[in-house]
Amino acid sequence: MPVTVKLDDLLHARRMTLTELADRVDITLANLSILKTGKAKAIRFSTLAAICEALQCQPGELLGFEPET
Amino acid sequence: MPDRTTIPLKVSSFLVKAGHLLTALLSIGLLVVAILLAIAWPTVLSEAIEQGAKAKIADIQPWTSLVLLGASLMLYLAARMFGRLGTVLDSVSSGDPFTADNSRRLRHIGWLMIAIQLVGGIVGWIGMKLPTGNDISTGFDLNFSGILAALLAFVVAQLFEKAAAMREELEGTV
Repeated sequence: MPVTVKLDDLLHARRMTLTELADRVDITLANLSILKTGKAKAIRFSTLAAICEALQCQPGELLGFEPET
Repeated sequence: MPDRTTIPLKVSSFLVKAGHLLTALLSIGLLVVAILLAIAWPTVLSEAIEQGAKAKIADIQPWTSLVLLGASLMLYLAARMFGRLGTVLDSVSSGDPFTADNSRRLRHIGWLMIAIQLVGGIVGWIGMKLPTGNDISTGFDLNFSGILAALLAFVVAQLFEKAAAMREELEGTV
């Protein structure tokens, strides 16, 4: 999947655990886990907005793009 | 207070299970009667003739047994139909109805409906061979609503297949 999710780095930078993030936003731990492990196929804008709000970041800091060679 | 969707679901589920049981029992019952009649027809018929019924043995058998067998078969097919419908309904209450399996079950229900129509047509045709004027009467016209129901089942199967594909597409969306 060329789109990468840098959730680990951001959580570490904000000193937050995945469980704490799940509590703050209206997203299940299971879904956040899917996102973190790169298994998500798509993300809703509402989800993206909620995470960015909680982590005080921009979508560009959360998502990356590595073109498949 | 149960929410709006559970009551109709419970009613449908009950009706389907009741239909399944009823058609299965009737099917077995008619099969037993058909077999007993085939074994016992000389006795039955000679008694009937003694009581004044006008009938020749060759007129009644094997047609009556065949009609009963045909009716038993139709009820058996109907029982299988109810069974599959019950499985589909169960998957609704367990939360994941839009699967390829349910699409397949609905298609089977469509085919079973067509089969019931065909067997019914044959049974009706055999029934016409029975001499008129006695108490046995059979008739089964090609049932327009039956064919329509089969068509409906096929269409709904297609809908379920599309819904399953759409659901699969959404899987993995957070």
